Amino acid sequence: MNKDLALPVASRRVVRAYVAGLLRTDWRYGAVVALYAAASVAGLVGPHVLGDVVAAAASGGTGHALARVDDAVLVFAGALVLQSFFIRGASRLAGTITSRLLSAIRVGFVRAILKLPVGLVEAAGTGELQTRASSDVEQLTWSVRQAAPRMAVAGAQTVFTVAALVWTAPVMALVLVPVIPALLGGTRWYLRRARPAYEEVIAAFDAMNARVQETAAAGRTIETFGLGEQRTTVVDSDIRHWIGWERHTLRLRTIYFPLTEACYIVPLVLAVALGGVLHADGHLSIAAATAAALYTQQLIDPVDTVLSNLDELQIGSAALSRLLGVGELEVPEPTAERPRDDRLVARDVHYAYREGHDVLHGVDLSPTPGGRLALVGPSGAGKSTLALLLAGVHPPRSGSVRIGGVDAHRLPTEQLREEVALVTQEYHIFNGTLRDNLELVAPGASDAELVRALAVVDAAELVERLSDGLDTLLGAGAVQLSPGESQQVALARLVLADPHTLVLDEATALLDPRAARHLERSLSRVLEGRTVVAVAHRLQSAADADVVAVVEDGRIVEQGPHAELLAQDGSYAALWKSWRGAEETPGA
Amino acid sequence: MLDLPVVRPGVPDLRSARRFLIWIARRQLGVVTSGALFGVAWMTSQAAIPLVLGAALGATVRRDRSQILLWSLVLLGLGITQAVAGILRHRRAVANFLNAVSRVEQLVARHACHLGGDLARRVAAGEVASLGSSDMERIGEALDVTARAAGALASFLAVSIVLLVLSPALGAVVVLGVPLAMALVVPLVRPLERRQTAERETRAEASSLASDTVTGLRVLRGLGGENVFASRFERASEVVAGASIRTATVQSYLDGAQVLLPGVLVVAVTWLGARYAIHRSISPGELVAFYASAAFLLIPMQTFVEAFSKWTAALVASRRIIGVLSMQRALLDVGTAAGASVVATPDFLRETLTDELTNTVIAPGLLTAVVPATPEEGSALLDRLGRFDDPPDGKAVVIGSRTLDQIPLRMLRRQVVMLERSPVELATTPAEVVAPAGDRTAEVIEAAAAGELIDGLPDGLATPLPERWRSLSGGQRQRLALAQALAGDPDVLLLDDPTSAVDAHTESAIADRLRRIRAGRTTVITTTSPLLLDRADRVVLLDGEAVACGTHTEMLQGEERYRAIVLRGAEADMKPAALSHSGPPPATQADRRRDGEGGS
Repeated sequence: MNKDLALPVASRRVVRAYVAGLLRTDWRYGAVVALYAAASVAGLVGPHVLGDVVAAAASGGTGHALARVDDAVLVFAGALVLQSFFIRGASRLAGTITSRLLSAIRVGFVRAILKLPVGLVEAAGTGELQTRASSDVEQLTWSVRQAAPRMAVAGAQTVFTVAALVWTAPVMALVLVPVIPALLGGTRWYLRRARPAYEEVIAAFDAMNARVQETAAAGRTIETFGLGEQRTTVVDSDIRHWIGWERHTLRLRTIYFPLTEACYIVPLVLAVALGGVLHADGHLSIAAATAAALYTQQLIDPVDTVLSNLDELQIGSAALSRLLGVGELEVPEPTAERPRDDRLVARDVHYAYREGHDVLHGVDLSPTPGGRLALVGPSGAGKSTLALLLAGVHPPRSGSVRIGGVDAHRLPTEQLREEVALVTQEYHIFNGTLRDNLELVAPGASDAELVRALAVVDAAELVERLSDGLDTLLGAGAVQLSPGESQQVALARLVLADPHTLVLDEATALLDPRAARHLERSLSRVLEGRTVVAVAHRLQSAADADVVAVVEDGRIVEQGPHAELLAQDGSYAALWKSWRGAEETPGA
Repeated sequence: MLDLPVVRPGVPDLRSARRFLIWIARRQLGVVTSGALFGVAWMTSQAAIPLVLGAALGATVRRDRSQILLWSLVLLGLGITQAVAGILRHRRAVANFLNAVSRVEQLVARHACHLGGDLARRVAAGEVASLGSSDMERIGEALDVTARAAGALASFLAVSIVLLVLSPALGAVVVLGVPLAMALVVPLVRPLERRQTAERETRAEASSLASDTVTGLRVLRGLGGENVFASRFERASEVVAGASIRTATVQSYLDGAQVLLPGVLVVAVTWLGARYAIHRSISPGELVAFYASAAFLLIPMQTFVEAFSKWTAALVASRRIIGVLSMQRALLDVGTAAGASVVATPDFLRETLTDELTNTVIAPGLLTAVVPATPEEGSALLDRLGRFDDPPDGKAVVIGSRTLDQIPLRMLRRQVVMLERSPVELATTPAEVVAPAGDRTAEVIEAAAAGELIDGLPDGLATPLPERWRSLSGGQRQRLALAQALAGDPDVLLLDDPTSAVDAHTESAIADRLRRIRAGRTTVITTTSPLLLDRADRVVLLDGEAVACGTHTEMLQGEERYRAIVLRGAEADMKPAALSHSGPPPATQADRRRDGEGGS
């Protein structure tokens, strides 16, 4: 588990304030608690009735006693019906409000994610965000739907049972006193140590399973390089690590559980002994002695429930703090300014992925509107990074990237995509219909417009090929498009967005030549009439551009048309010779 | 506590899901048994408490002080026994869980290594279910619950007997009434499970939508589709809320019923018992015992239900697990066949490797490039040459005088290494990846042009890389994978399009260095890049079968099909459509140039 969280976690104060706010504003939370309380009171009738019955049986005198018993049991039955009625009502109401609450938290969380700056998400790693989106939400759901209601019920039962005990026979309540400090102290001791230990257990368990999953997925690599034994050893050591943590938490429980069991039995023993002696000396009625003993016994279950769910609540609270934390990030508001014209100008741009390690050192670039600019250079020179900045994905560390005078990264994304768009190897087909995937960019577009956009990129037959056309479900568990087709959908999105500038980063690199050719045709139609900045991994495309910029070590070392640069006989000329040399006959 | 994990997990009984579970239980029989015994001690002492309570209250009624104190002490003793037996039971139950889970994890991991690439392929094809951590947990839970289940059974029987002895009529009411009360709740369980399943499905959909958001966040931000996505998620979340409210409705009836039905039983017992007590059939103390026992007996009943559902779930998980564990390898390995004799390995550096299916001949000690008409047939050829796949009957892959399937796989894999197009890489460090190279490490890294990428990592060679090397770009992954393949210096190296994501400049460097480092060894590369093809000793054009071969230059001159694939492949970049009309196609230009020079 990666403990270096770049994503913030809300403080306890914020979480408490959030929960308090909920309880204040919605009367239904109070109603649920009241219903549980009423159910608890109804549940207390039983021991009281039994006390009466025992007294009646002990006193003898059949006729009168039988009548008393009938009355008492009738009251018992009535209370029982009321209790189940209240429980049912409380459970239903709790279910309704917790479902709505969880929905609100989920939606708030996703909305917060969507506002996050891309740079931050990549630094934190999507893994952390995924964990929050999945297991933290699950955790919170469990806590809210199961643990919280159980706590509410058990808490109410505890309070009212103690009250009943006190009301029945105040002196008997003294039996509880000795164990309270032990129970509270022991629980605090346990929870403080147990929770971090449980987190380790979960992490170790997940790591062990991930390792086994990985072994299954990478079977071929393991076989190729003969890594079988090594994997077995690694898996065994993961198992050992997990078991070590399980043993640790078991040691904690070995101390805590017997302690709590002792704390449950001692009051009962005292109640029986004390009640018996008091009755024998005539200070306490038999009914009261019986009821008090039974109330003491009836306390065990709810107290145990409260203690065991305390932990769950803490875990849920931790999950909530992580979910709320995402929303706490300071996200700069997009600017209201709009670009004056279509000129993309990069001036003195510096950029670093990690503090202190600039990968771009003062880049100046300004492609002619409507023209083509190719970026070439060796791997790691910074071409792809420059492409990201030109498309407004990351803000430069210093310097500026402006469109029509406005900083690209400050434009709202719905505006930005109409100005400049980035096309990379990375496309993403979202789980949903083909229409869903296209409508992201053009919410109100008609089916005709969507099909037309696909036709522009030479993908009209895709709609025909798919069994449900635009309504075909795509993505995990549904139809998987080939990489070429997925790129075409990505290009169709561009057609719908209609930006005036395109930044390309080798969109065809991972495709086989046939698919690449098809895509290249699609792509060239999209390019017509727009300004294009292309990162060229194949030098052929550089030759066709209006201007070539050679990027080396984060700087532009040469810039100009192809022929001019060849004549200069610098880096570009050398690159070109090496590329062309392979195709020409020796001695040409 | 047993020493875990065990050194040898054993050979499982895979004949059925039930037998598999029983096999697991038998491997840890000692723990299961002692757990059950402690469980019995724990729950019977718990069960005795209501009865002792009754006796103590009976003594109270009689005002018998010494008896009161005696029963109080017995109560204390029972409480202590319960606490001690309880924790010992718990420890055994945990040991059961850990033992079962670790054994299954070991079995699965070892078998996955044995199956190699077969497992992933069949999982992707949907033939075999992929196993999750919950499958393992279910097996563990089934073993874990045996201790409590044993206790539940023992205490239910013990209490029933005592009550029946005290008062046959009243005892019968309790002993029959408790299961009846639980049974009446059952009709509600099925609809609840249905709603829960439906709710789980909607939750999974919403969850995958949220995951999708995270995975595609960069693309979403680039497209400006956030609002559309947010609305979509909101709708999905509404659906989840609706489903969970429906579940809660059924759950609320169940909650109410779980109070009402057992409660009715207790009321009935109280009323009947009161009448018996008044008629002196039972004592007041015994009445209290009946009341408390009726309430108590619900606990063992609930434990039975819990154990039953856990055992059912474990059977489902077992079925999936034995599905994986009983998978056999697709390839037959003479090395593991019974009675296999030691075979002398062929000399890969001197004997010719031939794929009969396509008539492709690989001369030893040379760098051969294969240009496939489609990438799939190129990969299929290399899969056969490296024996990751067997050709259909009748055709074989021959090395010298032997066929590949006559060589034990372990021996073969040491001398023939194949690098797939998109290998699934393990989480590791670059140091581990190139470790087999020993003192040739620097040379290998340089040959794969991986030096710059390793230097760019925060801890260089020691930097931990995640699963599938996700933190690296496509080109970086390819170069490091190439270094991995080169590290072992195998006699035969098969590379499937190893530089597809690498730029021209770097590819050119790799081509030269690859030739140098593999001098004297056999290397086969599938590619369409002229840079690599130019450095190959021989080039084979593969279109259904090996249709032509020669050097790159010869093939460019003589083979129309070859030119078409190779040169157009080289120009798979962006090119404005307008330009393709402005001049003649490049292939013809090259032809004209060569004709003009009189060839060479």
